[in-house]
Amino acid sequence: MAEPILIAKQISKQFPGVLALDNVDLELFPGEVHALVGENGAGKSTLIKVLGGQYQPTSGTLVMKGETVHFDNPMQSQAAGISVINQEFNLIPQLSIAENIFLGREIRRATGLIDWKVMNARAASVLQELGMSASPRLRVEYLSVADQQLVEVAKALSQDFRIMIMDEPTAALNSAEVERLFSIIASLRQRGVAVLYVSHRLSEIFRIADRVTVLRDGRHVDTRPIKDTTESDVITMMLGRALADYTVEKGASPDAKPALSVRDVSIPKALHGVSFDVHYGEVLGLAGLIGSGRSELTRALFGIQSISAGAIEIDGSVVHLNNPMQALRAGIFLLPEDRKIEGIFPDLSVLDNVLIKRPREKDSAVARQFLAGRAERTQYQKIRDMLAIRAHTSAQLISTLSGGNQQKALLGRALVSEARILLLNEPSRGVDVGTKVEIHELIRHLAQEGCAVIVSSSDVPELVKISDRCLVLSGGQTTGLLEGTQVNEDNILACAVAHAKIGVS
Amino acid sequence: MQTPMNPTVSAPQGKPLASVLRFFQVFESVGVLAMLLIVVVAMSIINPVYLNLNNVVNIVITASIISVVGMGMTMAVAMGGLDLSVGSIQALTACVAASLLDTTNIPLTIVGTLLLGMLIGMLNGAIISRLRVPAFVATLGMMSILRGAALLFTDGQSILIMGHDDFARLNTGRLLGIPVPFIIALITLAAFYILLKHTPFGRHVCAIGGNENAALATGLKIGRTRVLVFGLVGLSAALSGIMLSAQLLIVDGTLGTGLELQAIAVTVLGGTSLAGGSGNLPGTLLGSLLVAAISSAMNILRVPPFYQYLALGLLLILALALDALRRTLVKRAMMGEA
Amino acid sequence: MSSTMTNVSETPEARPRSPLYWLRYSITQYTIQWLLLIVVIILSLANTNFRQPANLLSVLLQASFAGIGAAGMTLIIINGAFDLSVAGILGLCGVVLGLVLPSIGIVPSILLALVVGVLLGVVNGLVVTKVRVPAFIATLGMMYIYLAIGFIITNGQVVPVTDASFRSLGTGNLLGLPIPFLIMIVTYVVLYGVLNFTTYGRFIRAVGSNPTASRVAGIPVDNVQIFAFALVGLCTALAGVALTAYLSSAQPNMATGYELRVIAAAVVGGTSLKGGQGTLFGTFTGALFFTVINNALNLFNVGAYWQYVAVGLIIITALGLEALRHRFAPASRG
Repeated sequence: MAEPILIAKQISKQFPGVLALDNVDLELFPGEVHALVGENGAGKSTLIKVLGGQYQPTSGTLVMKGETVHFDNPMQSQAAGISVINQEFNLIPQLSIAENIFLGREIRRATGLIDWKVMNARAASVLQELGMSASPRLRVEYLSVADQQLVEVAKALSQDFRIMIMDEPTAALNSAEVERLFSIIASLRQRGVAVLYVSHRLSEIFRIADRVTVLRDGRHVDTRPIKDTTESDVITMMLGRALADYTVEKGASPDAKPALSVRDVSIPKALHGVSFDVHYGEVLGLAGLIGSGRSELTRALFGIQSISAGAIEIDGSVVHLNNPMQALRAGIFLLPEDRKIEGIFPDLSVLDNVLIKRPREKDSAVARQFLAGRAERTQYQKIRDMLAIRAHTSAQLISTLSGGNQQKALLGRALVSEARILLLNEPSRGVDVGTKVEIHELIRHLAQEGCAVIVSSSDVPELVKISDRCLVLSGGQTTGLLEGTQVNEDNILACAVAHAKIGVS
Repeated sequence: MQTPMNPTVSAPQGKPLASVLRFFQVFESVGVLAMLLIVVVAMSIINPVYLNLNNVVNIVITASIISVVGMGMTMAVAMGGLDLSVGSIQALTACVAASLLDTTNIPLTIVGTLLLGMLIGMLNGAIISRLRVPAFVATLGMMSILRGAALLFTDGQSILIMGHDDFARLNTGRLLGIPVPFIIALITLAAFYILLKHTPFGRHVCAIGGNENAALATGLKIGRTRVLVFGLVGLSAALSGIMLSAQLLIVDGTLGTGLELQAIAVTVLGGTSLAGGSGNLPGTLLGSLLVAAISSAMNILRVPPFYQYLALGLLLILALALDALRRTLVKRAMMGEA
Repeated sequence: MSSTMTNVSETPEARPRSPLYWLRYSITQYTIQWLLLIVVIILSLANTNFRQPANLLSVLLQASFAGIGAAGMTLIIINGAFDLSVAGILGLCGVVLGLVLPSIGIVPSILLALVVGVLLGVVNGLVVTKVRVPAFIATLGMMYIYLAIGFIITNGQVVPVTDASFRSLGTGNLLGLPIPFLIMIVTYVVLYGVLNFTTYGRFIRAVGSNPTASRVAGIPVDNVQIFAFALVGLCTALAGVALTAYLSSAQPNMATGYELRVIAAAVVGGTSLKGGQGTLFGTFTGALFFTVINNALNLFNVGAYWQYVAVGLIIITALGLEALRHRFAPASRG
């Protein structure tokens, strides 16, 4: 076998409070497609950022061509021949394809002006290699996502990069586009490029990868040739069985009548005719990989995303949800997926964050305009005690709390809102194990109190622990509605990958 | 309209949106020309004096002086920035030019003044990139400092430019029958156009304006580019200061108030989006002609001068509204396909 | 701020702190206030004219015109926006006041001026939120529109104000303090209440801190922003009333450069241009700080034109200090 082109030895990355990577090893050989898999939070994206020069490892070394290399910034990583294609492209929408490909390395004539003829011709030939027919003069903003992705690949190819890292490259592609990408990856392999392919979609990995490396909780679990392994092996490695085992009492007695009914709801490019009911007093799990339409569904139910077909009913009557205000008024609460971006107000106190939007229907029109100082403090203290939010004072800025306590404060909003239908996105993402248990108990408690709870999570064991029923989406369609003892990890994963190959067409 | 925060807004498929965008691209260049034609045709019907050679030359000269600053502003906007200090730079450089004339010769005056403007602009750029503050606040502060500097330089007095006929010819002269200011504007246009569209520097300017993170990841020298672009804005403001002093032949420290508004207005009217990433320099020249034509029309119709501010303000808001609409569409197109 | 918080133990109230801790705490928390104190002490020692009560009162008087408007500007910057049209609003309100004063009397005239200020603020808010134009450039355009309207209704003439009892609003003293300064204090107290004790005040801070999260939390973001712009209009109109009384006349361009002074007061007072952060107490001190510097320049016979330079330099220095503080602050959110 040839020499590895890149060796990552014992890479660790410590963040305040979190060990994101713990002695991870990785070897990349020229001409191999190497899959990198793991659950959310397993350390994949941290590893990519270390290789791409965005993060500097706390310990461990990178070796290329027998020499230790150090990347202080992305430019140094690129200079060493590593190209990272993120889900967010590094393209300038207003520039042409050729300009993007040669950005920072423009081909000049003796006069110092750009030599358009040569630059466009070279760009065209790279595009042709990739089987893309667009004119290199076309502005990138007019391209589809799949074509933009190819421009990123073209950029890397034109610089003769030896290592290409692709992060979830198929997340936004349809099946024909996926096929085209696969054939390009195959030709990259033939040219001796090493491709590190990061994906949730196991079926894709088994089609194109030569080897697979599994990460779990920041640790390297195993690296195996794809020939010698099966999908279920990989799933077992991804999940591990070392998770702290505890059970949450379910024992739900849901109402007979549904609280929320979703009827044939579609969202362009994300969801295709999904229907289900949620009853008061139960927890409905919502599972699905990235791109399954899971997060779009919860956003549509909260009025952030508009639906193109179908209907949403609450207590049997159709509602139209055009914005969060309407959803809150209809008794729906959403715990946003990304705490930092859509959740907290970093410059505000914990109390302000929890009580930001109290329903004030009972108050008089005048009273509604003022904060109810003492009543608010009492309410806050009640919630703080109930959720065990660890803050020194109610005036402490929320940004100074730990992630778990921030999350609890956001869950506190659900209690404040008095909503009866709760959409909880990734309720325990980025929180420690102890807090996770507390959050799970709280969710069950809310269901027992008579709320209809939808928990949308990429954490499958979490769904198994707390859901009475579990809806699984794949490619924007329902691939399973599991009940009772059917709700287990194997079933959920099987449904989640079931139709992933079909994609959106 | 959907809430803009939504990272996965549902949008119609790419094709029709792309054609809407192309319509806007065409509109960018044709729209301002159409407005210009309407003003000129309407005015020539209402009052034929409007089309007198004298008046047309005046319009062209006024437009040329504005457009030179506008070109600089267009570069800054293409980079995703803005310069509110151009009016003060114009005042300071006009006064410096007027006083240099008495001590040196004309070429040295011009070179010295342009250099001063460029250095001031580079200082703007350095403050913005070093302190990482929004361009508009930093240049707002500089606007005040430079205004003070101009008033201090002249001690609040006016400076008369006398006995420099060659200098005055920068305004009144003709070359092949074309007024010299317009030739200066055309040369500036050509130079800036080549710089923006055909050099790596210009492409990097657009790259920074289009997606700063991507520009950073590609390894472009953002700080240096920013300093140079603001240097060019300063240079263009100084050039307009020279042209203005040649026109007025009497200058003081209060010149150029409100110039920033005019420069931004002609830029946006000309089809350069505040979103950054591209600059329509010929459009800026057309925008300047439109503003000058409207202002001349109002003079001929004896509309009090204050109405011109009103017209300019409304025109700016209108142009911004169109720009906002375009940006919303682009955003939807980009995200809808994401 | 955050770094001191994380070190605090479970019950901070109960634990006695060393004087050194409180000194450090107050210096980081109240930088501008300390700075003002030091400057005032130095000036009092260095210049006998400065410490004359008459001069100190005139500092308070001069500070109040920018100070009153700066309260509103602080709110809109905390809200994450910006208003460059305040000079136009102030001039227009002053002109309206001066024109109607002879015919309808003092109180109705003042009320009308305040209503005009609120309306202009609402217009700004509508342009920013509904037309979706960036605030600073939309308000730059609106500034010239207001200026033009002012000139159109006055036909370019100065509006004289002769009513003696109205003029005393600008020149008189009450409880030994200049009336405009008392107006300024009342403005700050009221706005402090609005910002900290009302629902919309909380929303103003929330929207400035994280607009995306605000939408998800169901906050009526557009209305909140329009409300904040209306408050800017109200404060600016109030400043216009005081300034008209003080000058005994009004004209549309009576406040040229006003936006600079109020932004300077807010920025010097520690209001972050990123939104979400800022205190009215800081702006209050900022306005005083600023006037003290100008006063000192006058006392040392530095020409009036230097004040332009001083304004700009103070803004840029304040921004630079802010940038430094961010660079050296421990990365608490990284």
